[in-house]
Amino acid sequence: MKPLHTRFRLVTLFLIGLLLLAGLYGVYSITVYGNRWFASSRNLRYREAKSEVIAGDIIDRNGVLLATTDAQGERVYQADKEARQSVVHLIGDRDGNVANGVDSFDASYLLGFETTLPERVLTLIKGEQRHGDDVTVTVDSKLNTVIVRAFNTHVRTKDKSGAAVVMNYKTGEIVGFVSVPVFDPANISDAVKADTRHPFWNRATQSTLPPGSTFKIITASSALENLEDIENRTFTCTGATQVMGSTITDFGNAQHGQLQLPKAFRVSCNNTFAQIALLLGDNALRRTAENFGFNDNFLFRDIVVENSTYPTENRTLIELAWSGDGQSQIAATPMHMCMVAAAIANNGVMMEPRLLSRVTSPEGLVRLRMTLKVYRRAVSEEIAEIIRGYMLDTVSRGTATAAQVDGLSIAGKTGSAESSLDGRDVTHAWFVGFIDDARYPYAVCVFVEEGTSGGGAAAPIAQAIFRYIQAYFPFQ
Amino acid sequence: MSRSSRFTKSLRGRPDRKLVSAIMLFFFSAFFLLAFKGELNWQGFMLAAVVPLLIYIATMWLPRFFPADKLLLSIANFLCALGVLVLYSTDLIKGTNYGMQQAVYYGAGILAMLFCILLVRYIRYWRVFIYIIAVCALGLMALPLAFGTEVYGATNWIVISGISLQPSEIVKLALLLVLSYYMSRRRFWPWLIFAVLCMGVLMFQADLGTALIYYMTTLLLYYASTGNLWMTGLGLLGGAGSAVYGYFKFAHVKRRIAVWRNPWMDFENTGYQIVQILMAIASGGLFGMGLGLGYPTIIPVYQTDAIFAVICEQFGIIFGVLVLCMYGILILRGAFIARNARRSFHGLLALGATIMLGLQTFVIIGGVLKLIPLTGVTMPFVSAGGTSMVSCMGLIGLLQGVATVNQDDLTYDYEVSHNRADEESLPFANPDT
Amino acid sequence: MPDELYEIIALAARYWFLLLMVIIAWRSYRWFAKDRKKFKRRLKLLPDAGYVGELVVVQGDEFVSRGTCLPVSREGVLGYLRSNDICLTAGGVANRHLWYSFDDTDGLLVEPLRGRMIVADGRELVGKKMRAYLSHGSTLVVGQAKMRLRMFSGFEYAGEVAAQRLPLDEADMLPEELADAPHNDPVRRMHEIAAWQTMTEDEAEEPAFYPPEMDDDDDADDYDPPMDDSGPDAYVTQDGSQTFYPPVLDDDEEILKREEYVGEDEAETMKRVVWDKLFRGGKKP
Repeated sequence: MKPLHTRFRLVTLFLIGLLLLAGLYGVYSITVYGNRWFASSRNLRYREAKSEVIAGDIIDRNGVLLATTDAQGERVYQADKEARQSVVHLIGDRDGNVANGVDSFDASYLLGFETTLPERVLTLIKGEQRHGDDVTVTVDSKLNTVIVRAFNTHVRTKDKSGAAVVMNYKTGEIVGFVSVPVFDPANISDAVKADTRHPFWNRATQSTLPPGSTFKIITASSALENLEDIENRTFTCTGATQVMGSTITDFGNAQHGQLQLPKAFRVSCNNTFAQIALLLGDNALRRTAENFGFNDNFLFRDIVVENSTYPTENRTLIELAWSGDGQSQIAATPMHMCMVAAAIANNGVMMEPRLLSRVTSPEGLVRLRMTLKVYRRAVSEEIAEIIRGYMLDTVSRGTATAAQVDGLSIAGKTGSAESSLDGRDVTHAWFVGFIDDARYPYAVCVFVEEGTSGGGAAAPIAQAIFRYIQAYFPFQ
Repeated sequence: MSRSSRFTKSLRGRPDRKLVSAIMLFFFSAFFLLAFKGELNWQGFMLAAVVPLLIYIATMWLPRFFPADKLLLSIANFLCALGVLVLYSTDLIKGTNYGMQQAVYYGAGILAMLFCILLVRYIRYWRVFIYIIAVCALGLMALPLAFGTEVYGATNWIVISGISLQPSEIVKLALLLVLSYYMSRRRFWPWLIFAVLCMGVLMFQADLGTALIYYMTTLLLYYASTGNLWMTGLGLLGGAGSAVYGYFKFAHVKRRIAVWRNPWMDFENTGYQIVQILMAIASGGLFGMGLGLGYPTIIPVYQTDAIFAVICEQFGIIFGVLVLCMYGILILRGAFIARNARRSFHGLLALGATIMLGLQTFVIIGGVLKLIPLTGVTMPFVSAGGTSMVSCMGLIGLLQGVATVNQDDLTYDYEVSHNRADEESLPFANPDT
Repeated sequence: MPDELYEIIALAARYWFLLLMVIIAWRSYRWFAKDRKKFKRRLKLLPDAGYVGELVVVQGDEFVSRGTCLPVSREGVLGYLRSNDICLTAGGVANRHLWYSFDDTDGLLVEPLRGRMIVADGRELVGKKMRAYLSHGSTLVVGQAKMRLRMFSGFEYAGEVAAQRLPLDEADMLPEELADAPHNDPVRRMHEIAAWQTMTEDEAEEPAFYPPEMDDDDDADDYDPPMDDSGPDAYVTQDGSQTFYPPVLDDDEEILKREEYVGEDEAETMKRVVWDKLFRGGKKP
């Protein structure tokens, strides 16, 4: 009977193990994903709570009231149409068409789910209706308006879709957050719903697209990390590098001749970076990309960002070559690319993006203060320094001269990413960059769908952003 | 001495009384609170008085008249009462009558349990009996094929004069008996044929959750009785193979797996249930939304499959994990009973019942937590539903039957071994006998 | 009750319910643990719990040595495979040879399975329909192994046959002072076993029958007992007979040296069983 008993014991252990697994997984899920599931705009729970609780206000960093609840319990946005359109993807709309806007993602605060028991008792005794907490976001709504205006007035970007994210690279605060096309949350017509450009999408955090030449920041970092003495090496750009029977070409069929890494970066030479990628090998390049946050499951506290991908399966040489130029199934969101630029600006340290500046209860008690959190170290300080130099160069005499601003030292990188949209081949325009000045520590990413040229379409918008910051933002 | 110290004195060294008193207090306060929700519900007050009383009777008095294992009884009663509580709270929201219905099913369950206890205890010569059971069980399984009605995608139900039955739940018990009998006799083919036939019928009826449980139980029992790793491995491979085959052949299996991986894709249709479940559990957070609060009735089929989500929404995930611990203690106790069985037949029977309860709990809770794809099995004791209650109480009855047989054997050993060195009471969960 | 008030009370009550649930879970577990401990303690008092007796091999072959004691549970299967309740690796034993079951009144029922043959108390039994009841001291021949059944104390009077039976044959061989000794007296046991073995030697050298060919069963195995490898190694005895239990001698010393038990769990039970019987007579220390 004894061997029988040992087997009984084994089977029992197996069963207990299963239950233990289930229990642990349950607790893990709730702690990690709980807020996201709760905040899902499909959750009817807090919609029902809206009828009982006065939703709290959403205020921007300068005290501008972005959303409040009127006497009838309806959500009311800013009076100025242009203003409320520019923050519509940040906040969300009444019906939850925008995914994960502050109105729904932070519903647990806004609808009073976090009020403590004593507070509730007090409210009951006073006989008032319950009021949710007020949320102050880090975004400057006027900057948002400026960005939308820039999109609409600039000839190359008018009527195009895109996104822009502006971050403080020292703290991780998001000060600008725009997705274009915008719509009016007070007036959602059927035309808006049927618009083929999908205005409800938040392109800043939900669209993952090839970053194009902006990815060369990462390729260059990888080269500096892994290849000896890469700065002094000379490459040859013939305008058409042959890899496995396909040709790597440059934008506008340019041929750059003999050049070294700084110049290749400045002029954004695809050939050179393809060769660098081949030298690095897929593993090294992928490792660097993962250091920058690619392939990571973003679980930021304040904001939902789609994951950026760098393919992990065995790839062909031609795919590797194009990866050096940020094509070939690499995908990132504008939010993430902004974080990449911010990392370079911040000596290689990538801060976690923060959207909530403060949460206060109706009585004025501060429930949540913004705390800084380091997301990861992307590169070493030395390499960040070098890349910063390249990026400064790119703006002063490279492809990104359209982003120059008098009186500010701007660093940046343009990108033209080839992709396909609805079956057509299109080229998206990217610009990532930052202000290299301790008084204005801001990083920017601008993305224009079908913008064709990064320097042509995206950089001017960045310039507008930088100008506004220089004029209106206080010193840090 | 004062009344309170007399009370605590009566509890000392009496673990059964301690546990039952805690359980009674829990349900009294819970129903009492619910009675105040909205308008004053007299039903709530009535339940606040009756349920604790029933628990007391069922746990402390019943073993005096019938052979039973008190620990198993108290845990099973707790879970049944928890089911009634949660269903009653949803009744208050939606106006249904699941709570009271469940109480009636509980009565039927107690009868089934007693039947199984007596069955295991008093029948010594199973050989002929097993034939009869096997034939009847196969007949019962095949009934839905002929007269079945389809519920939620599985043709596993038959409806007799308004009462719906799920024969596969009853056949579970027969399966256990047949398996343990032939395995203890070390005969291979009879139980294999029976199990294969049952599985075949289940596949035909597309009741995949139950089929999975049947399969794993058979496999684990086979391993426990023979220890033949090669054959067990082969069986496991066969199961995995047929699962893969099923994935490619049946569209709805594909759908289930896709929904499991990303329920938000098709949130409107196939993913609706699991999404609602996840949102409910998340809304509960660690401590829950409060008894009687929350919106559990949004979840489709909340009364059977997703009852755990309802519990987690109202009481919190920590509470849910503690309920899982109760099931764990049930399993430990079942394993203890199996280990102390003198005959392999009883040992395997007890182990099989434990495996079934454990697997069923894991499958449903894993499905609700999105650990594994959601299937249609019910949560033992807690889910609404007559056949589920009857079959789970039957399993507990089989376990208790084996426990009582163990005690009989032990008594006999004790008496005949001339070892009257100490006259203390016998080792069992009946500290007062 | 207004909704808001109910909500507040329910929110406060969450902690109450959680506390109670913790208490409930904790108390359940404690009850279970206490009960198990008590049971284990009691079990030590009954060291041979679960076993009704043992089959002592008085004449074996090269695979099963003389003096081997096989514990007999209340019911089960005897055969060659290690998965059986009694594993007998003698020649001529089928994979599953016989079914035995203990009954309080009638003794140990033995029933060979289909096509197998055994000899019980001199009577030849073949196939499924024939059965016999053994009691304390009965002989059982399975394959090439000749065994005697020794019931543990308390069971030795099971079986009507035993009631009519004369005092055991070997009582003649016992020294006088042991005649009144209880059955679980270690010295008496030692003498009984020795007596059995001596008796067998006096009998004819040839076995009473020739065992049938080992038939190929549904689970075809080769010679090595194919079951789990947690069994006692000594069963693999092709390469020289490693004595599982040393042969019983008249010398008390030899019995005291009965230390080595090959194999783990099985050995442990046996050790406890035999040790307790030899040195404590089953009594609590």
